[in-house]
Amino acid sequence: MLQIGLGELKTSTDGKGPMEIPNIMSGVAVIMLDKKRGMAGAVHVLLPVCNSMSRADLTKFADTGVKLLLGEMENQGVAKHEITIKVVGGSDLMGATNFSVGHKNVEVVSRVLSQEGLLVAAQEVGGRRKRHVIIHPGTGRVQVKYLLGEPLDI
Amino acid sequence: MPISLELKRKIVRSVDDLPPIPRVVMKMKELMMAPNCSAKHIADLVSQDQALASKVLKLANSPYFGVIRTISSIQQGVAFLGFNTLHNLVLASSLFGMYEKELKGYKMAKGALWEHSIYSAFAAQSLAESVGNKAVRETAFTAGLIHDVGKLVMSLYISEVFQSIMDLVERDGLQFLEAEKKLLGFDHAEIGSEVARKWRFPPALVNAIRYHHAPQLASSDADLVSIVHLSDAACLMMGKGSGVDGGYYPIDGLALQTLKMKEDDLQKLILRLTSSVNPAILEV
Repeated sequence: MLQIGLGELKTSTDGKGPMEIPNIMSGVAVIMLDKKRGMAGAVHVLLPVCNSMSRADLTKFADTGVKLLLGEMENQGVAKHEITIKVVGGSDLMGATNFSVGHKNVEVVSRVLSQEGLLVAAQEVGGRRKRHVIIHPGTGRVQVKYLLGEPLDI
Repeated sequence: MPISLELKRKIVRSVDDLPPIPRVVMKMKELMMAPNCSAKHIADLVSQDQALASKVLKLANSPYFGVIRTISSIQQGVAFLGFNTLHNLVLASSLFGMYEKELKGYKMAKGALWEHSIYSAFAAQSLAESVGNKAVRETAFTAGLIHDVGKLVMSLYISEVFQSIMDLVERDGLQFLEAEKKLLGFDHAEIGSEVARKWRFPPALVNAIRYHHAPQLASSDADLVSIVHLSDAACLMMGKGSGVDGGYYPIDGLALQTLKMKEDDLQKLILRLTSSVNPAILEV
């Protein structure tokens, strides 16, 4: 299974079979699917707004990571209107009103997608739980798993 | 429901059942404190343990340090890494066997406690470099590494009351740690500080473990306690080795004030951690 770690961006052309994004907490997994071609791309961002000068850090931030993922999908010949978007993650620690990195990540992802004229088809965000995501590029199925409780298809 | 005395006794006995810290860790600390300590003294000690010696060489030659020529002798390795890094390596390596196990009570997969502890140790070291005094800088890595040692014991008992704990955190809004205390008579921070005492760690480390969820209650070592608290929180936010308890953990604003940090600084710490953890130490 193709693993996408914290701050990484990959597309299904980087490997074969399903893709896995483990250990999503305050970070957010943005998943772009081209159901017609059976292709997918995803980025696991961990902070909201880029303040780093390093190119290697761009996929770690919500604002730059979403744009890079979109660019990568377009480079691979996927038109914007063919993309289905799913968003998972953005948990926060208890009572973290001033430190709500998860909530801010989700906000920035939504804002950037909206600026790009893209709609979110499904999302499973917020709360306090850690999530794992399995993406099946061939069918477009996105499964969210938890440490406790039943998995959920979104 | 009152907690039975027998259960509390069992938990305390489990602390005694944990294996002791290997002699080499304590011996190295003693040597390091001696005024005439040299790389040769430390190298002689390390060389007595072949597995440890090869780990020292592996770490010294890891790409993380970017060395151009190969370090082939233990003495070179000791001189290159420095006493403190070496002590950290020896301690981490001695804990690996205990820490890599699955902790069923916390729903932590095999390797999760190890990953969380190593990341917390690097986070604590990183924070201490910018805010701590010399004593804090020297103990921060160890404090980060051992802050959750109490989970090794508590995990054995949590499964029995797991649903009641989840009811307390989800229905009544308690922290996971508060629910542990309410249902088992102890929480993992308390039990962890007992383990640290048993292992003869200095009082500052015992305090850092004891109060890592509640820095406001610590009457001394405020910097170290705050560093461990924020490091722990940063690693949980990153999803590094957190269990089912991970989200039920409030960040204490006072810890940020103590260290004169802002929320931005916590984000900077998280960013640093994505590239500053030496992968070689994860595989000790």
